[in-house]
Order: sequence, then structure tokens, then C-alpha cells
Amino acid sequence: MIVLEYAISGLLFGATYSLVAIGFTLIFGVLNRFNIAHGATLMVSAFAGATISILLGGADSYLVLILAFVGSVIAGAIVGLLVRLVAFVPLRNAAALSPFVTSAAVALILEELFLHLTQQVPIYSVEVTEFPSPLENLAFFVGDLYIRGAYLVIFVVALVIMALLHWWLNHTKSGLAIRAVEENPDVAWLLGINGHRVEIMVFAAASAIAGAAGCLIGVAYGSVSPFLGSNLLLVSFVVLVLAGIGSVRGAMICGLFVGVIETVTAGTISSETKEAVLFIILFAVLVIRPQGIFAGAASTRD
Amino acid sequence: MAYLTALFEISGLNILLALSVFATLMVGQFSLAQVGFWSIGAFVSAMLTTMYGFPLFPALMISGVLCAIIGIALGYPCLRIKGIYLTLATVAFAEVVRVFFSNLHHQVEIDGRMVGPAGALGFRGVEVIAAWPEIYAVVIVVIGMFFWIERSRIGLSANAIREDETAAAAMGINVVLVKVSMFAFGAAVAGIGGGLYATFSSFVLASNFSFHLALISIFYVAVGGMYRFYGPIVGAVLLTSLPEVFRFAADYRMILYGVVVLVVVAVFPRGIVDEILFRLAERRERMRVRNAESQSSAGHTTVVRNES
Repeated sequence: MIVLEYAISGLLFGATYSLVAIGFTLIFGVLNRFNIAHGATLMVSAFAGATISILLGGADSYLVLILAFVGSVIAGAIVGLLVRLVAFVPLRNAAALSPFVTSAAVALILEELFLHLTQQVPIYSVEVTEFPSPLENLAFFVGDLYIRGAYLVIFVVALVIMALLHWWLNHTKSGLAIRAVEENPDVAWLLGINGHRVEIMVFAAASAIAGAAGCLIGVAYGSVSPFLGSNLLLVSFVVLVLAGIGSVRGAMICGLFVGVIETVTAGTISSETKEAVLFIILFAVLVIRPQGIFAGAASTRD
Repeated sequence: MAYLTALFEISGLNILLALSVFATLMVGQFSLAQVGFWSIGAFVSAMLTTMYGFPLFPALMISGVLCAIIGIALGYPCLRIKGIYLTLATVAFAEVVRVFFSNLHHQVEIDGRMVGPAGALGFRGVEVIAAWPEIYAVVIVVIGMFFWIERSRIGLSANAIREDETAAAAMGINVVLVKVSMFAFGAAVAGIGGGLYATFSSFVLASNFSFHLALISIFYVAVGGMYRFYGPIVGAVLLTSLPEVFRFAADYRMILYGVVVLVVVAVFPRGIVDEILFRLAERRERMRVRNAESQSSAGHTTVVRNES
């Protein structure tokens, strides 16, 4: 029974992993490069949401929570575009390693910056800064099963975001352009698709989704910290490999799956083994089926 | 003076870390696993010297060989994986090693107190037996090996594989052998470096060898240079002394550090050493072409004159 409870909360919380991994995979699909600063983007936007919530007294107002969410999303998009400008634009023709390093450097800068802000700005706390929300004490019971209200809310919000994204990618003209660039940038260029505009669109959208995830995770934990992003980055690596790099639909499903595995291992064995289990799965999938479980055409590019 | 000595010693250790990353990069494999090998080397050497009374160099040899064997075991299945997937596999390896050592409890009683790795608390009180003479003896030997490898068949094969794997295989190069041996060599260097780190710093904590350190180790190579072995050396020394140069910025020096890495990689995409070498070679080539042109045009006029 307790395992089922863990599994359900893992499934609900896993939706945020899906969001993080989707953003990561979208950027990889278009640029064919890893954006290591994706986790830092999430962290900054989570802080933006927390700031709004603290300043406006968000402990018992749903309106402030919505404002904080919107703030996070906007902050995510802005930070994402800045990351692109600083780490990716100057290195368009360089080797694959260079944007990896520059985006990692941006992540380092943002982490250090917020480490200092948390020490110096009075509304933040040094280790973990509180993210007040009215969802804190919300809970539901389905029969005997206890379900945290915050988890249910983030699951629903995440599903809505994913549905919107799915619609955007598959049923609009700009979504078609993004898929075309993912498939083959050169042919897309020949067909008159402005690759730079697609890049900007994807960075803004992916980072806005990361911002939304940051806000949801902050609400679920009840707190944010400067190292929020780097842990989530590693988890999203696992989601990515399971799904097959570049597969958006796979990332949606595998995020939930990773959430379940993580919570169940943490609950039944120990919280230290959960990372080891995830990475052993990652390793096994890479060796046995390198293209991922949901392999798409995009993942065959190297 | 003691402060400068410490900086010198840490630079030496970071040179070893950077060179171990570079060893796998020589065959075009971008590995974040070196931190994992560094961690294995640190714990094994610390346990051998402090708990079982081994002298320093035999303990380092054992760590190096052990890491090389693990490197072969890891490198072999990883050969199926290419590019970014390989990088992720190496991240996974390093993380699993980190979790393993954060949960390792193995203590023995020496002189009335418990010594050994104590899970998340790390391994305190490792016997300090390495200082700059030991560190730089190892650094010089490793640099000598890179010097030799660069000129040997295996180094040339590695370069060929990095440029074009299929073409290299078509030339009769044993791609699997070269890749796995460079991977094992890099692992051994990391293992020995980790051993030196443990016996130099007296305290080993598994959570210090995290993804963060893996990124820093990549910075050394990216800033220094990725094609010749002295690039990573320059990068490691430069980035190790950088936080000390920025001492005036107090708490903000790590931010400046990140900015410097960002700017250097944007300005020198090949890394400082290789970009300079590349530009020099380019200029030499231009000069050669210009000389050849002026000579040929001179020859042309003489021909004309002869005809007239």
C-alpha cells in the first residue's frame, strides 16, 4: 500500500522531470548541442517565482501563486535567450565541445551569483529559501491513499503545458518549422525557414517550460536553492537517454517513469541509492539500446 | 611561501586531471568519467597507505592499474556508443562511483582510533606523504609518456581516429584497440592523480568528486587546448591560479572565473595554445603561398623577357 502511495506521488512529481527534459531535448533537437545551463535557467526562474511569492505574501493567496508562476515562466524565457546569446551565438561554427563548455560556464556563473544573492539579500535564506504557497497543506485522500495537493496541481499544470506544446509542435506552422529544422537544418534553410528565428523560438519556449518546471518544483519542495538546477540536470540526462535524445513524446512519458522509480527506491530502500539506481538504468539502456526506448529519427544524428 | 607551494602542488594535481581528460579526447571521445577514476584512485590509495601501510608509489601503481582495468571494462561496452551518448554514459559512471563511495563504510582501528572511509562523512586523517616533489615526479613521468605517445604509432593512430574514424579503420588502424587503450591510459592517469590528491590533502570526500568537478576538468582542456598535450597543462595551471589572481574580488571571484572561461572559449574556440599554434601555422602558410606567388610571377616575367 505504501509502495503504491510512493508510486503515485512519484508519477505526479515526475511530470516536472518531463518538463525539464522536454526543454533540454527541444534545444538539442534544433542545435544538436547540449545546453548545460538549462538547469541554471530553471533555478533562476524558481528564484524569480519565490521572490514574487515572498514579496506579495503568497502563503495563502492563489492569485499570488499564479503571478509567481507567470513570473517564473517569463524569467525562464529571458534567461534562456540570454544563455543563447552568451553561450551559443558566438560559437556557431566551433567544435561540439565549445558550446558545452560555455553553457557550463554560464551555469557556474548563475549558480555562484545566486549563492551570493542568497547570502546578501535579506528576503532569501542562506541554504534554502522558502517558497510560500497556499498548496502547502492541501491534501486529498483516495480511499486510504494520501495524495499531496501540490503534487496533483503540478501534475495537472504540467500536463496542460505538455498538451499545449504537443499542439504547437504538430498543428501550427511554426511548430512545423521547428520539426523541419530538427530533421535537417540545411534542407529547412533551403526551404526558406529562418533557422535563427527557429532557434530563438525554441530557446524561449524550452526555457519558459524550464521556468514553469522551476516554479512547480519550488512549490512542491516548498523551497528553492542555488543548487536546484544541477541536480535536476542530471535527472533530465536520465530521462533523455531513456527516451532517446530528441524525442519529445518519449521525454514526456519517461519523466513520469523516472519519477516513479526515484520515489519508490527512495521510499523503500534509501534516498542515497535512488541516484545510483537511476544511473545504473541509464548506463544499461545506453549499452543495450543506445538509441533509447522511444527512438525517433532525430536521435540517429550524432 | 607555504601558500605559493600549495598553489604549485594543486596546479600539479590539476595538470594530471586535465591530462587524463585529454587522453580520451585524443581519440575524439569526450569523457566526464575521469572524476570517477580520480575518486577511485583517491580512495584506494588512501586506504592502501593509511590502513594497510603501503608506501606511496606502490599504492599509486596499484590505483593506476586498477583504474586502467576498470577503464577497459568501461571503455569496451562504451565503444558502441558515440558522441553525446558516450558523454552521458561517462556521467553515469562517475555518479555511480560517487554514490558508491558516499556509502562505503570500511574502518579499521589504528593507534586507538577508527580510520577509513565513513560513508558520507568521507575519509578523514589520510596519512600525508605526498608533496610537490612526489607530485611533480609523477607529472614529469606522465608528460614524458604523452611526449612519447604523440610521436609513436598509437598517437598517430589516435589523431587519425579523431579526424575520421571510418577513414582510419580503412587505413588498417585497429580502432577498438587504440580507443580502449587511450581510455585505459586516461583512467590510469586519473587514478594516480587521485591517489596523489588523497595523500596530499589528508581528507577525501566522495561528494567533492561530483559533476561540478567534471565540468571544471573539461574547462582545463577547453581553455588550454584540445589538440596538443601542452594545451591542458597550460589550461590547468592558468585556471588553478585564476581564483588567486582574483583574490581582490573576494566572494565574487568564482563568478569572474566563469566569465574568464566563457570569454576565453569564445575568443579561442580551439583553446589558447592550439588557437595560437593554428594562427601561426595559418600565417606561415599564407607567407609561403605569397612567396611562391611572387617567385612564380618573377619567373613569368623572365619568360616574357626571353621571348622578347
